[in-house]
Amino acid sequence: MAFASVAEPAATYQSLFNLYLTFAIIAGTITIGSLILFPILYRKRGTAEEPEIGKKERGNLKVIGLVVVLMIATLSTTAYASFTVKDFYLRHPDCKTAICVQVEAFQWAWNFTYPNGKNVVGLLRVPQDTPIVLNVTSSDVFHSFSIQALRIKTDAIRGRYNVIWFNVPGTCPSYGKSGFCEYRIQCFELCGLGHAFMTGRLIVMPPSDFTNYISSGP
Amino acid sequence: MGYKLTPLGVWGYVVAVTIVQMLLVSYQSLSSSVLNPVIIVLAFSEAALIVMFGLQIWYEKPFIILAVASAFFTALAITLALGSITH
Amino acid sequence: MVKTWIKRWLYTTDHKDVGILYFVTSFYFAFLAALLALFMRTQLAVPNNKFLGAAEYNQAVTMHGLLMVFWFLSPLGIAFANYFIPPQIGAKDLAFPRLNALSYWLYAFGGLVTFIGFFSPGGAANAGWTNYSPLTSIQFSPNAGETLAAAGLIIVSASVTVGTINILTTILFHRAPGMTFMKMPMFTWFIFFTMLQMLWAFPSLLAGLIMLESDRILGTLFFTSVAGGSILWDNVFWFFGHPEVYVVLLPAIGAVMEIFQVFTNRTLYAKKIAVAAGFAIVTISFMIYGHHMFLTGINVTEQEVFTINTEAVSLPFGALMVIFIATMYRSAVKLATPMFFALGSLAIFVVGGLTGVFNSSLALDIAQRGTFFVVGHFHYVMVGASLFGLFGATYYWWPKMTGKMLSESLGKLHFIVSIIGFNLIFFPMFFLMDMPRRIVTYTADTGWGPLNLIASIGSYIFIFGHLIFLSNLVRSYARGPPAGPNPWHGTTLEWTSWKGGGPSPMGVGASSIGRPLLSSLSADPHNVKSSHGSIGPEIAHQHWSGRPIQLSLGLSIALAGLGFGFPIFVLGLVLLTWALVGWASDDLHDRFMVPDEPPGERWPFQTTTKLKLGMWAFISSEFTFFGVLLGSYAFVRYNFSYWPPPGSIHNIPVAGVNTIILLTSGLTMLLAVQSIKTGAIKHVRTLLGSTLALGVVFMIIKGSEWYDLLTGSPPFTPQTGLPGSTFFVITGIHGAHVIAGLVALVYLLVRTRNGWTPGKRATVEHFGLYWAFVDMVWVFVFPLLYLV
Repeated sequence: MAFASVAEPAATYQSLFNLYLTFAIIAGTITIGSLILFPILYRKRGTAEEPEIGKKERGNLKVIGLVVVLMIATLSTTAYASFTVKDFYLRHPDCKTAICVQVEAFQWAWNFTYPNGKNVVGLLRVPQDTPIVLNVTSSDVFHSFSIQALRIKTDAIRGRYNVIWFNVPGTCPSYGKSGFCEYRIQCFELCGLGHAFMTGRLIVMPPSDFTNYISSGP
Repeated sequence: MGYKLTPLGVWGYVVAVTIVQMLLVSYQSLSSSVLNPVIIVLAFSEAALIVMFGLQIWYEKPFIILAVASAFFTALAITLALGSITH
Repeated sequence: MVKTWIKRWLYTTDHKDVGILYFVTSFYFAFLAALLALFMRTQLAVPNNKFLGAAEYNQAVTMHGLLMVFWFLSPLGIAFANYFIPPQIGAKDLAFPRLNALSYWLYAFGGLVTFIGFFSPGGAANAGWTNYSPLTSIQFSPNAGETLAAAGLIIVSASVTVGTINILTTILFHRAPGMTFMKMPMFTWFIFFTMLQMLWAFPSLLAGLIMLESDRILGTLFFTSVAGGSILWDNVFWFFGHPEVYVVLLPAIGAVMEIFQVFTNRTLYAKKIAVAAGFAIVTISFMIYGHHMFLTGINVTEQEVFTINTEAVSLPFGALMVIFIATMYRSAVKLATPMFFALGSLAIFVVGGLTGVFNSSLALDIAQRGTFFVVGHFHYVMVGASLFGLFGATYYWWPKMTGKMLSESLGKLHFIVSIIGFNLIFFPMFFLMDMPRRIVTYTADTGWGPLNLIASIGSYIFIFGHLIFLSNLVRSYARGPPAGPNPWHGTTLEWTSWKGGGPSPMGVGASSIGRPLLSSLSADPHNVKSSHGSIGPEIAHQHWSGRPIQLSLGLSIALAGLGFGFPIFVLGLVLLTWALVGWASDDLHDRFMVPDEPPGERWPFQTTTKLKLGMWAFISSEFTFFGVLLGSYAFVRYNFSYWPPPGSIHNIPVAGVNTIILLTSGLTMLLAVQSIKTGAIKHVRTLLGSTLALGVVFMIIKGSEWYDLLTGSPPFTPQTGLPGSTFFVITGIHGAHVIAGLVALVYLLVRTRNGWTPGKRATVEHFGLYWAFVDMVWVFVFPLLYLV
């Protein structure tokens, strides 16, 4: 993912994901490996029935205890890392340093309102290398606003305002029809018949182009 | 005759508490943030007596397992839900 | 002959028959839900597909989820529980046979009520199995399908409540002498855990559904208001929803434990830890549901708590994995079909569990929420772990249920095809983290096409595996080789309790009609004593009862009337009343006779009675139900800036007097119970009559209170706002409980008019518990609704 090293908070997200993935692959390999290996290693040999099932109950607490301790250690690390990343997500700049855009979800599109009152449906233009803060709500049902490639998402609930932020450079993997960096906006909570089509476009442009855009009428 | 004492005692307490709760509410000068917890705590005390004697826990103590478990999970639900409200 | 066969299956209350009913019906619903899945996968196979439109797709995805979770996976586990728990613990049957049949018929008819939505105008429910608000409100889902789905779920909640009480009482009360808790088989233990979770989870769902239907039909504002709304539903639903997914999983894990022990020829490693892990899972599972709400805007501290708790639930599961692996260590593993499925189930569970850890992170969930990553995760645990475990259980227990063997080669083929198909469908989904859930289609430029195509191809392979399975079952039942009584050399009582050649008398054979219940148990390695002798055919007939199916039909039609109109509702009520009166009349004339189970292991409830235990379990469930209702009230109040001050709407003195009247009825009832206990029965009927009279007065005053509010100026109704919605629904439900109690009191008075027997005395005590509970609820309702 080319963007991962430059766009925030996506880059932070990715390193957290990789941490979890590393632990998961290790744990998964050992466990699934044993589940495949042990039946082969300890398969029943010969056809004679064993006289009776071993009645002696086996139970070495140490083995289980060790695994549980290892899990606690691993999970504490992942939890702590997650809290740090979430904190990073939550510490958004204020509307003096960032551009604060109101986002209103409705069946089945997104309504963006810029600080100067300019109002656009379906298309969010932002300047590059600038923190953008989104204040998200819904006017009808439960939606979920996401710019998935930037790894940001928040639920859009009527009566509530949920805040997310991002900061994107102008170089990116996908240049759209506009000629600028484009990212896909999409709804991630089933909201009726138009759910699959509730998309939008994020266009990231040079600051001068953005200034022209924002002042060019309602 | 003796067996009637406990029911009458419980009844006396819950009726008295009900009257006290109503008097407290009519006594307007106490702020509701003080009044409401008091009223709720009184309600819990009534419920405790009813659970002990009406629901027979006093007489068949093993049921306390079910009582405690129900109370625990219900309290958990309410706490977690109320805790999710950001103010 | 045919007529008797029909009557048998409609009227049976025998646990083996009911188990078979659950077994067959659950696969029927699975077939419907799998078809829906096949349609969805066909639609998603390529971009911009036109196989299903958005309306059809949304119905398919919703109904697929509902049917699979509520009408297939869980009931299949219950099928095995019904069939095998009594023999495993040395009991004759479940504690309450008619309630068992009632559970089944409620479940079956509930499914039909939900499914009928497809044929109603506007189609079936289409807001996802999670029924998020406000999409499910009448404004955004005007179709009857959603009302019907919620009605079907209410019926299932009733089924589960009844079934939970039944199985819990059975396990606590009907163990044979010597069958202590630690000697209980692991399958019984894990069903016990499942029942505990159901006992406290389903009441939350029921409360939510009642509030939802009330919103849709009566115009209340629980989920349509901003103060309640999406977050209230989220909390109420997911408090149920998270334990529910373990409810779906634990029976399969229990079955896998049985299979592991038999096919490694070892007892389970660290059995006590496995039991402790089960208790831990039950408790922790109620504390983690907030991971479904990470992005809703709840405060961060709670999110962190939910992350930690969700991670914590993986600890008992990790312990269980060690236990499984260690059981195989230095054992003698027999790789027969049940063991393949057991191993497959665990391997798939590992993937599901690990991806669950990803989803437990309040930070990672930001990207994963609402995507196919989540879809992959839960299908790995639900389909993989649960379904494969239950397939294993089917192969394991089929010889005991039918007396026939399944084909090993077809079984192994089923396993290979299934595991390949399954992984092809769901593993690609972990790479579709950018793709939202529940979308009818996607464009080619997203690049999601190839992985979706692989998944769809996998779904056809997976279904083919099920066809192999089905043919195996049919062939075996029709002309499979006969099984001995213990083909796998199991040591739990369902295998060892019958010795000799030929099919076990527990099997479904031609002699089934009027067949005797379990014949006497002979000695077994666990030194459990035999606890009963043979029962002749005439008693079996006394085990038939038409009331469960009548009652279920009545209740289901009545609730379907919520979607289909008032006349249907009334028709259902009439049928329901007739069935209830019939049931009461059966009891008055002692028409349903179940031989008593002699006392066995009953700790810690040695000194109580079966009915009292059942009543207590019921009250425990009701406690959670009212708790969630009142908690929802607290939630909306806490969230709502304005609430009318005490006394401004309600007449406090009148309500206070009415409270004292109800409490006095509690006094007369308690005096009646104490009189019974001390043997002073002379005045009991007078006390019961006084309770009835006071209860009637309470309802009359309440009715006039309601009348005054509804016709006042301005009128105060359920629709005028949240104060109205909460007041009428809460006092209404409480009032319904009072009325039910009054009806029961009438029955008690009728029943005791001809003198007292120990059974009738006990009934008064049991009713006393219920009435005390109704009082207790009011002791909270009165201050909460009138005084604060």
